[in-house]
Amino acid sequence: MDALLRMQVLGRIGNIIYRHSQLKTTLLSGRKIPYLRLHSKSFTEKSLLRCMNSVVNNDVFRRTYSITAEQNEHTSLTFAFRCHDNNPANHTIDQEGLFYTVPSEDYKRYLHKAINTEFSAQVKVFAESCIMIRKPALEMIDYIRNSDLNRPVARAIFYGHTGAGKTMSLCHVLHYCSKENWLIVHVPWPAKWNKRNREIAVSPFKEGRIDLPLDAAEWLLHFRTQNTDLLKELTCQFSYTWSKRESTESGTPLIDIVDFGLSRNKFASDCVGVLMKEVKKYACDKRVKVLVAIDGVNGLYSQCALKTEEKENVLIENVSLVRTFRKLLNTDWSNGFVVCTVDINASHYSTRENHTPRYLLGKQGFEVMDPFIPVQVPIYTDKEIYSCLCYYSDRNWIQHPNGKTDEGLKEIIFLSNHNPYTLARVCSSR
Amino acid sequence: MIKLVNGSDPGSSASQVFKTENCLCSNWLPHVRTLRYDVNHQEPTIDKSKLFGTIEEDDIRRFKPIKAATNDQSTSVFYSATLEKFINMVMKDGKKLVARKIVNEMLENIKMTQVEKFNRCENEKEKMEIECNPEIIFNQGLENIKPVLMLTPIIKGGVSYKVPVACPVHRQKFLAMKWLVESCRDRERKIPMGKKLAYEIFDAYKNEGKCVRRKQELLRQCEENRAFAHFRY
Repeated sequence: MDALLRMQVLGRIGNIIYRHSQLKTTLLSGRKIPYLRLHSKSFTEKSLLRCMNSVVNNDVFRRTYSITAEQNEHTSLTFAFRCHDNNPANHTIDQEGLFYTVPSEDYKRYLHKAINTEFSAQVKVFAESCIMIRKPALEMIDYIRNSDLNRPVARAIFYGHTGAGKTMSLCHVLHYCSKENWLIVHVPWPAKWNKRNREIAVSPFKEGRIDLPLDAAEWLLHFRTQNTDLLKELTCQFSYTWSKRESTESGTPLIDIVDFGLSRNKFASDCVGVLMKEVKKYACDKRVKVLVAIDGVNGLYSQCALKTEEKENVLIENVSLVRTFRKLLNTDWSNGFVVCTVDINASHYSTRENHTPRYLLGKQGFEVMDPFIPVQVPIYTDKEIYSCLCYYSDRNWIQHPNGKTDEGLKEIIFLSNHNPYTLARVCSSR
Repeated sequence: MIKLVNGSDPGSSASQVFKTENCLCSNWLPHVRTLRYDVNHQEPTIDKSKLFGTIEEDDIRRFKPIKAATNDQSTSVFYSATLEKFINMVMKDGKKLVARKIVNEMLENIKMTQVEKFNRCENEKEKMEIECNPEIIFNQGLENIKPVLMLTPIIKGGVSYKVPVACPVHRQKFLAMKWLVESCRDRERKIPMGKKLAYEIFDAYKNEGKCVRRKQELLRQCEENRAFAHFRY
């Protein structure tokens, strides 16, 4: 082909591409193009189009052009997935499926112990902590907002399959209440206290009771980080004698009791008990609103694997920490809200057949918690899963070039079965 | 559609012209020790885009029998023959699930370190240079470990000499993966295998570390024995 004709042909091709915007986007995305129609009476343009159709659907052409697809975001991943309002109080159902960013100070203060290892690793990698706004959490926030705090405390339970997002919903609720200046009593995972390898001590307070000094100290530190300001304001209403030389007078700020428990691990469990008693009293006196958030509440009612020094099995009722938090679940106080999750992994291995609250709480737990508000946490809907994949793609988590194509996305969604946890695992190796 | 043709067909005389070396399939790896299939059998088509539609009249698949696809091979867009081979080499006692989990963890670890660097980097220029795709890093690391030459024992006049010889492609691939896995197995037991593999791959990607040193050691020995190179024939 001589130079002049070549230029004319290229010019015509360029013209076609310029006028046909669909062709341009599909060329850049590297997808196979269905037969294009161009409303042109010109014979040369029509025949050129015919040539282009066959060329463009050629393997080599598609392969070279699909390299640019990696640089451009694929058309099915251009959803808006970010919510620009980071205050949970302003979240509505319109923002369902969007991700909002938890500011890093709030994350370090309230949430970094509330979440599992995989999410905390993800926060580190993405250099930000984003939570998806979903229906269950919005429902719970609505209940908290509209609850009559003069009445005895209301209990609500998140339940759902493993990996559905119960803990994340709890975190969303936690963030909301912290912004509204509630006092937060958050127990990350009480089932941890049922394990064989915990360090136990005999309680100095009551005979037959078992203390968990290190676990109590860990919880006290967590409680302190979450509620530093409120603890400095509130003071003891009773005086406590720990031993012959150590005692706390009434009127000392609660934060001193916390610090005492942290420095003297021997009395840490008793400090926890004392603090909860004070907190309940303050709630009833309407001094402060209290949110009790327990992740895996069925861990307080399941089998205990601890053994005393005499190699005897410990009954879970005799563990002081467990007793303290069980008392908080009762309805003998007001001006607060109890939000829990029941998790199948918090139960003993023998009782892991069902994920429903009645089964996991057992007879004793159910009798305590009944009546409660059950909120199911479902797996991702189509909208939510695409939003999640957009987020991963934005954070450069989906690295495989085929991972962003339609087929790749379909495969990822199929492999994960719309389960949020499995989606994260599947995307991690693509 | 493709017709399965028996080897003892009138067309088989023509098939002798086609040798397995002329096979266009890029995933072809020869078997060691025993061949389950005879020489005529062709590799299966795995690429989804090539599976649908007609094949040409003189395409070899019309005249030759085709091997059955293994359980590892899939038409998934994420299928990688190198990774599947590597999973097999990591595997012990036939525990494929564990091996697959380890290799996925390795890719995840590589990705996590690189993406973290990328997301926290403020300099635009530096950002462009950070490679985040774990498969690319893995393949590049493997390339850096592959030895160009190897030593084979050749007996001349009753004496066995170690003669430097060009390392064939499949042997290179095997040695690279073998050294990688061996060096990781020698390390501290308490670190998960996925993490150990990730560390080794990073070192290999930068052309440092145990595996690259082993390759350089081999090449050095080849250089020392270059006097015997003519013993090849």
